[in-house]
Formats: sequence, C-alpha cells, structure tokens
Amino acid sequence: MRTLKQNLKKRARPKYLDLRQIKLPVTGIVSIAHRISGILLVLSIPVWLYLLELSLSGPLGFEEAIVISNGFFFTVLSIGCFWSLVHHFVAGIRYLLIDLDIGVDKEAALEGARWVFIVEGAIMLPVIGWLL
Amino acid sequence: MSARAGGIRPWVVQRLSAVFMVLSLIVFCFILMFGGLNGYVEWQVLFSLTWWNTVVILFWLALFTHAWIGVRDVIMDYFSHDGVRFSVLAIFGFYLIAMTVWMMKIMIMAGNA
Repeated sequence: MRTLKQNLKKRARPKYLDLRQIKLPVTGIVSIAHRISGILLVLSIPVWLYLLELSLSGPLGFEEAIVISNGFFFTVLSIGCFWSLVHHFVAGIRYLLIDLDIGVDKEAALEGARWVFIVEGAIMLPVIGWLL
Repeated sequence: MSARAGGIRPWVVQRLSAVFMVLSLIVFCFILMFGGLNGYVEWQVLFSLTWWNTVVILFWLALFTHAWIGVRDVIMDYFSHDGVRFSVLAIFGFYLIAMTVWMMKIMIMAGNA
C-alpha cells in the first residue's frame, strides 16, 4: 500500500492555474460570456450617446451620423456590440427562467446553456450575412 | 450576483431594469419598422415627443443602474484588495454619473427642440 506521501508525489499537482487545462462546462461559458458581453456594452455607451447627440444636433449632424455608422470602424464595433447584446439578452432570459425555477437541475441547466448558443447562432448568422 | 452584494433589492432592480430595457427595445424596433422614419425631421420629432423622450430617459437610467449592479459584482469578484477595489468602483461610478449627465443634456435638448 502506498503511503499518503507517495500518493501526493505521484499526482503532480499544478502550482498555478493553467487556463488551457481548465475545462469549463457550457454553463460556465455562458456565464463568463454574459460578463464579457456586459462589460463590452458598458464600455460602448459613449459611442452610442455620441451618435445619438450627433443625429439630433441638426440635419447635417444626422447625415454625418449615418456616414459614421456606415464606416468600417463602426461596422466592426456594431457587430461586436450586437453579439454582446444578443448574448446578454438570450442568456439573461435564461437567468429569468432559472429565477422561475425552470432549468435549474444539472442536466436541465446544461441543456438550457446549449440552447442559449443555439438561439444566439440562429439570430447572429443571418445578421452577419446581411452586414457583410 | 454575489451574495456579498447583500439583500434582495439589487437582485429585484436588476430584473426589473432588464425587463424594462427589453420592452423599450421592442417598442424601438416597431418604431423603426413601422414608424415611417424617413430622415432628420421625423427622427427629431420622435425624440421631442414627451412619451418617447421619457421612455428613452428611463431606458438609459435602467441601463446605467443595471450596469452599476452588474459591473459592481464583477469588480468585487476580481479585485480583492480593498484599496484597488474601492478605486476601480469609484472610477466606474464616476463614469456612469458622467454618462447620466451627458444623456440628460442630450435628452432635454431633444425635448426642447
């Protein structure tokens, strides 16, 4: 029989968190994506306020806002923000359902998290196709 | 939402603000699709209408409140040093207050136009 010491020696324990070795379950991916998308949306607030102000400043500002929103930089930004919004929205609805005791058990939670990505993809793919 | 945030109130506020934002975005989509907006004039008139001006102000306030509760939880999860946590929270709070002031200026001017 091996002693405890030998056992500990045999299993080389990682001394640091190796992110590549951590297998996050799909529920965890939905959760971290909810945080990342939320932060992206929060950081994009000034862009939207600026465009709103510009578009309401007069006919010239309105035209300028349209030109800016058709530009390359803005297209990339709006795809990022649109994904964030869609993910935050779909995952948020899942959290509201969980609040209502729907999809709480382990299997149901995994199923629900998978559905978040399925619905998200169904919304995102046509929109990206339309934008490009 | 972390338990440390304390109490049921932020939880309720987070849900109510989310539902309000979803409903107002749906209304906005309907306006874009069926509102017959053809240019600056209609756009400007829309934002000068009291009901829509009010809805948009409430939308932004719901967003800023939702952002405060959500990001506060994220900050508390990732910054454990008291001083750093306080500083990051303070910077983020000032950011949201600045956004609120700017938003109110835009919306009041749009309402008076």
